[in-house]
Amino acid sequence: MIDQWNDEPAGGGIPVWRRYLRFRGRDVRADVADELEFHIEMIAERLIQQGVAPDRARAQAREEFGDFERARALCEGIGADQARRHQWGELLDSLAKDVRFAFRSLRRAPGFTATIVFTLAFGIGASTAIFSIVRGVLLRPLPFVEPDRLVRVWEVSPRGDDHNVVSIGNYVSWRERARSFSAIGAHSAPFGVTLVEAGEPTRITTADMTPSVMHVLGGRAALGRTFVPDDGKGDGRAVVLSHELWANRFSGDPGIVGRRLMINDASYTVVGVMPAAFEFPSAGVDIWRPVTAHHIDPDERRSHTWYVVGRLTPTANLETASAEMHAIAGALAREFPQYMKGFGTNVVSMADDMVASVRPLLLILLAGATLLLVVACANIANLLLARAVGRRREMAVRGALGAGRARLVRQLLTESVVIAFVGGLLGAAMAVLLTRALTMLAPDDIPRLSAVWIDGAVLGYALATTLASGLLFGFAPVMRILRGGRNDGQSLHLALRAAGDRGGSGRQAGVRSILLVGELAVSLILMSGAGLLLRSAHRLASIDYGYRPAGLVAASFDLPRARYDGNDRHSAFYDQLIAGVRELPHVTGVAGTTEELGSSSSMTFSFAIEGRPSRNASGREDAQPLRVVAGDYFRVMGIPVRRGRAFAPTDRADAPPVAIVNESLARLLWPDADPVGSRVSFVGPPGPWLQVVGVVGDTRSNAADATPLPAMYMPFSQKRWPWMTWLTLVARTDATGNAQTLGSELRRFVRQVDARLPIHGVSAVPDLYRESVARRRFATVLTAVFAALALILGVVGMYGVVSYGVVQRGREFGIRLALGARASQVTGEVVREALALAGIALIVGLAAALGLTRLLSGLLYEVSPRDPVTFAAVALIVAAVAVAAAWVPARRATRIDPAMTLRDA
Amino acid sequence: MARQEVDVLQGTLDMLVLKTLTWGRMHGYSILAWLRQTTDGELRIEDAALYPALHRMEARGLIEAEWGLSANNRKAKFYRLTARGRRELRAESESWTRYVSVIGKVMSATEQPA
Repeated sequence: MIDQWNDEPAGGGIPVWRRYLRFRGRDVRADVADELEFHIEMIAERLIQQGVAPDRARAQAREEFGDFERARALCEGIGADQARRHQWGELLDSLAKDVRFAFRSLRRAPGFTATIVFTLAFGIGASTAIFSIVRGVLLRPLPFVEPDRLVRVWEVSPRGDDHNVVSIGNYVSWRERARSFSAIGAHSAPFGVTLVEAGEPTRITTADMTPSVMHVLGGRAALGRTFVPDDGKGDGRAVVLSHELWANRFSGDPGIVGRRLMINDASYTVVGVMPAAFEFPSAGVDIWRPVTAHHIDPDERRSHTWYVVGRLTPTANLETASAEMHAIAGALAREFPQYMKGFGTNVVSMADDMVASVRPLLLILLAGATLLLVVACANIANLLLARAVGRRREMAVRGALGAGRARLVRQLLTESVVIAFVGGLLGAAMAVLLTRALTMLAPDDIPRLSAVWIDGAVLGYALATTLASGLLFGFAPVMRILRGGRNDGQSLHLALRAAGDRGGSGRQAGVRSILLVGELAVSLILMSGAGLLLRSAHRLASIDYGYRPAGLVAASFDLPRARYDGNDRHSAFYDQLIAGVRELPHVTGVAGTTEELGSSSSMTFSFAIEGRPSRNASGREDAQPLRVVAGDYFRVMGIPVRRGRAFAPTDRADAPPVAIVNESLARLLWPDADPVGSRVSFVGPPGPWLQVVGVVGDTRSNAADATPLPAMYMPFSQKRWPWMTWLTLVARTDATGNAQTLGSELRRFVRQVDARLPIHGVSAVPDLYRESVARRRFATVLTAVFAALALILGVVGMYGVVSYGVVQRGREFGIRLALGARASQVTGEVVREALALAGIALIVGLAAALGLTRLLSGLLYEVSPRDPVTFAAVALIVAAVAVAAAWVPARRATRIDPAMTLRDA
Repeated sequence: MARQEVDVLQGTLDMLVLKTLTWGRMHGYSILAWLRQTTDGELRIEDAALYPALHRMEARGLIEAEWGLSANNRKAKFYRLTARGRRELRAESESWTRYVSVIGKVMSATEQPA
């Protein structure tokens, strides 16, 4: 009985054919049918033994078995599943084998592998790092609610400036009339105020806003609340703190809400703290204060100082809002022709508005990094091709042993992708470091740098570039196999003999040359860009500022009006300050100015010239920059007096008012006459006439790269505006003085005079201009680095191609040398061929560069994007470097021992 | 044959099959035959239900199958316990024994609730 169920297979084994079929994945359906059929036959046999008639036994067996079809369907389903899984498993298995094999073969050539991996890591690291900045600055949505509905509304001035700052009267009209916005608000530019905390004064930055701005942005406070409409009704003594100020200055005090702070000698109540991500209108704002209703004069349309933000209603979009605002501007121009004639409006998406100025810079850098990656890939492809030659024997043997062409291709591609991934991994690590370094090096005026971090999209970009590079440079050796594979009929013997020949086919040399030409051409593009930027940087560095910034130290003050009321008290304080600072060590002269050195903003006033109509030909009052200065300003700055005299200590408040104009203003308003002796008067409440007593030289005091502005100067002691409380002290120091030591001496001195008065912006004056050229410098440094790397890769590529050619033609050279050719002939020929390649690269590269450098024009200063000097220099460098890279292997050709090469053959 | 048959409890068929295969390699028919013999025919298992169970366990790697020739020289699919199947059987039989003893305690309780 026992052996009926313990049914060991007869013969103790399974027929080989069955096993084979199974592992070849025999038809699942047939297997299931066979198995179930067997069972039914066994039942039928038993029934017959039990006496059932054989002709009825089968039917009865089926009945006894149960639901045959259902069992079959279930088993087939399970079987099919398993077959699929099995196939996947097999695929993964062979892939793992390929990857292991690739690692082994790469380990065998460590120098080669390291070269490729690092080349790629640099390419991927650089482009990923730049992409992370592009992602953060240009692509990441603003940290506000539904940021794509946020817009900025600007005035368009009659001169065509489409980012004209808005007058509060216009804002009020827009708010009353526009239906496109669910909310609209106005805010000031960020400006400095003094916070006195625990007796210690500090300068912090505020942005004042109508309470509605918070509503527009949808900002939620991290602690407490933001502004509510009522904040604009009372005395407006509420303040919202930035996360940074709260964390640093108040140690993250959770009970901060409700505390009172002294800001500009007035008491404010903290109502809330914003989250860290909230940056508005730009990074670095410490507090926000409400603008109260009595500051909003609906009739004020002359002074343009406000920035307007709006949130579009769900039914509005940029076009409908623009159209509506256009109509409103037209109506306002008709109603207030004296102020609004010629004014338009400009509605822009807030995100675009924030980053519009840096988009070209970042895209240029991204393009540069991508070009570098392309050069890296071309170089790697060349290296792989060179290696493929050395591996022909290996490939031939593997092919002869039965590896199909598809198998060999897959293995080569796997190798490339494995290299790419190792390089990509290293590149991603490099990108993390580079991103951190770049955000630190980047100019402060690039918006949204705080939104730069490595996220999934950035890693995805790194992964995508890795894969693309791997396939790109992996393609070259694969093409070789595919081409070689056409002679499948060739015997192993032939393949091996060819492999022993060490050389490559002529066609392959052609591919390598094309890659090299491409590589050199792209390096040339990068170098042209870098060359132009460097030349522009040089121009900027040697610029004539119209005064001597070197040795000047600036420090800014702003007197609180609560304690310093009236022009006399301002003058008295600053006179005392200037007199005191003059006595400090290393100081040779001190003066003061209301001008913000190194900043593009300037204070302009409308004025009339005696004896002329108050409006000029275009019906407009002349509004020109006014700089109010104290002390012996022109001498301390080194601004030459061209005509008349400088201000003197006798130009006191009670003396006849005087003014000085610079040469630009003189040319503009007194084109045919000497301005000295004319009299001017500010438009507005009637005031005295100011006598022009001198003409001084122009200065580029706003920015190194801007044309000098026309300007009028007047003595601080004669100013008539009590709100003009600030002054920037400029001290000229001798050779040993520096901003830091002078800064601390200044602080000590000021503390004795007024312990509650902060000093801000202490810095060497030349540093102030560094900010204004920071963007250019950022672009210059990065492009130069990319270009240098590309050039190095180009040299390596040239060296590789020439070495390869020399080895390939070793026998030929050997024979020629043996037959009496001079070494210089052989060397010359090799170098000439390299030069021919470089020549093609020069032509292609220069043509492309001439087309592309136009994109740089916004970053160039007094350098044409087609500057012939730069292009000539770059072409010369590339040619020289190409010759040098060819010379070394060419020399080697002459040292070939003819006997050796002949024997090898 | 008038004895009353017992249905196989849901989920215990796998355990029974694994137990059966501890005796060695068997095809489906002989697995059923042994189970019926061991239970004196008191356990009702539908023949058709056995095969999906076998295939499922094969897919899970608890048993493995080979084609071979049966005693009467026909090709049949033989199943054998894998190491994983052995572990599974041990775990299942332990939890089954515990279950039976726990349920038994309740069902044979004589003491009234306090």
